Amino acid sequence: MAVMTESALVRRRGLGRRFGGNKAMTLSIGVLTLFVLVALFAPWLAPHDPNAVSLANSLQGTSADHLLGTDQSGRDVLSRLIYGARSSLLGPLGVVVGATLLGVTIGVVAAWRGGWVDTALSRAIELIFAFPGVLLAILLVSVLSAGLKATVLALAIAYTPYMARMTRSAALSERHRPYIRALEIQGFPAVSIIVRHLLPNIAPLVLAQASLCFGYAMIDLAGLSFLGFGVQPPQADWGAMISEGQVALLQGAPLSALAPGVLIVCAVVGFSLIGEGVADRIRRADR
Amino acid sequence: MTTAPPSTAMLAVEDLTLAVRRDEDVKPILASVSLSCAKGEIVGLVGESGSGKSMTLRTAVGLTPAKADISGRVQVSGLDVLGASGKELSKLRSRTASMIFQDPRAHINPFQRIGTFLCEGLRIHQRMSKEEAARKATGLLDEVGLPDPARHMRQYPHELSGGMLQRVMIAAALASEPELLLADEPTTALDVTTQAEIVSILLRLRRDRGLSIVLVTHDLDLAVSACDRIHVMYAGSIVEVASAAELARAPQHPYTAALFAARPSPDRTELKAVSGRPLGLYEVEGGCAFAPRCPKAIDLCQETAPETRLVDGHQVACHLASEPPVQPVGPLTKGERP
Repeated sequence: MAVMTESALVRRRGLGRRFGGNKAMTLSIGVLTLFVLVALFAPWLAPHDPNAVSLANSLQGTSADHLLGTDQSGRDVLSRLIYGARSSLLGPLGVVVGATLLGVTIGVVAAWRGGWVDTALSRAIELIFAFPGVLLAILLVSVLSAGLKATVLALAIAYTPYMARMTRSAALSERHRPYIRALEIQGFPAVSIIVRHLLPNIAPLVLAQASLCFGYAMIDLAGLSFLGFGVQPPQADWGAMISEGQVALLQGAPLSALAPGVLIVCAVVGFSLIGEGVADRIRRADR
Repeated sequence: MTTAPPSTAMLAVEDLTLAVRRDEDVKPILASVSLSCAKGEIVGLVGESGSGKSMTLRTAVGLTPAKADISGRVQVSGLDVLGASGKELSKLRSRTASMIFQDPRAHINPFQRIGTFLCEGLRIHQRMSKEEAARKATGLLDEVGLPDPARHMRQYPHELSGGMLQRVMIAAALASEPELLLADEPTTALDVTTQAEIVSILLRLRRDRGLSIVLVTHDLDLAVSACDRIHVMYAGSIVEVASAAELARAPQHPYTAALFAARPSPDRTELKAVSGRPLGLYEVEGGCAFAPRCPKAIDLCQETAPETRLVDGHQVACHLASEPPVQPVGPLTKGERP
């Protein structure tokens, strides 16, 4: 036992994983907490009205009044970034919550019932998998009109397979563990076993996957905003800001497009690191 | 067989035959198993791994493989288990019969406190209030002899030893005030002194609560010391049934005799293993399932399966059983498979 622990420690140290991983995760949590706080307290933090157009002041560089300059409509970039954090974080949150609720339900039912129910649900999931999420979003936008709601709904459906597939495999291995069997033999109703035992015990895995999906959803939503399907002007959104900043970029005022880009990268990397970190801990605990 | 009339038998299995279907393949698991356990009786079910002991036990609470051909009758406290509805089965499992398992650590949710684990059944099945359930659970832990019930209620499974956890599992099984306790190798994973304690708890429960117990084990000595009657199982059939004392005194079936001879004992220097390996029922090709390993097998044994007969109070399925009791079996040599 002692030997095993020792070698495991050596290996981890060799990869620089044990402490490096934790540091990256702590940093990520810190950065993302900051983003969330900024989004929550946007009205108090923003120095200017994010939608106040002032064409005379368009495309200014950094100054004391406009720390990150202004965009081509003369709006304060920093204020738009601060307000943009709201839709940029709420959007992926909606996607992840929707996909998790739907995916976990499908995954658990498939794993628990098995047989033809499992086969039918799994095939249905693969069908959605085969359909590109962005295409689905464009389809829904054409039906529901452009905006955050339609794109979030579309991506929630598109991300469901990722959650469902992971949940199904986790629930399947948990379902066949003896303690679940024992609970069945004790005559507990299936719903109570699932809610009180199975779900809490696979929750960390679901959380890790949801965190990874959050990052991807953010990129997709930003992409859709960039293409003009997501958040509509003049509302501030990081993806939309990049789109609007294209011209500015060419005119030699890159900040209005670069700054939201940097924030998106930070958020996505942060969520990925958290997801990886949680998954890593689960793997380590399973060893 | 001398199955007690269903009215007094807590558990009555009659002529149970079970085969698992997989695609076009049919794999027989149990052949005409009969077993009974009267109220307040401790019945042993002994046999090697894969002989169908656990499958028989699981059938008693209606847990059969999804795709299986089953015939025969299984009754628990008057309920026809094989024909029971889902509702009746769930009542059977949550009220009448409880089960304990070989490896308590695997059979208890590792992420829940002992108290939560014990109270869940009380609250769901018996609709007790939180306080009532906690009081009852603490009482149960005390009844199975745990030293500090109040503290154990707050502990997690990994904080308890295997023996203590097995007591917790027995406490959980008792929570529903069952009449029948199905014990699936409850002592196999425990050390010898703990085994003795668990067995003494089972004996005390029978005395105090009038509990009927079916004890599945592959430990003959344990079965002889704990049980009233013992069923010996081989390749999905019961080969011998006798009272524990009678079985130990004069085993009639060569397989039972070989099992007794294979026990380790301080005054024996050499272990006498039963040669060959245990067969599954599906591997048996006509004749007696034990014939390939039997030192006394005659031609008849290879050809026809023996009927069960009554010899000296033993029910025994062996062509040679009417002969004088099988003498101590030497090292078995004839171990080739047919």
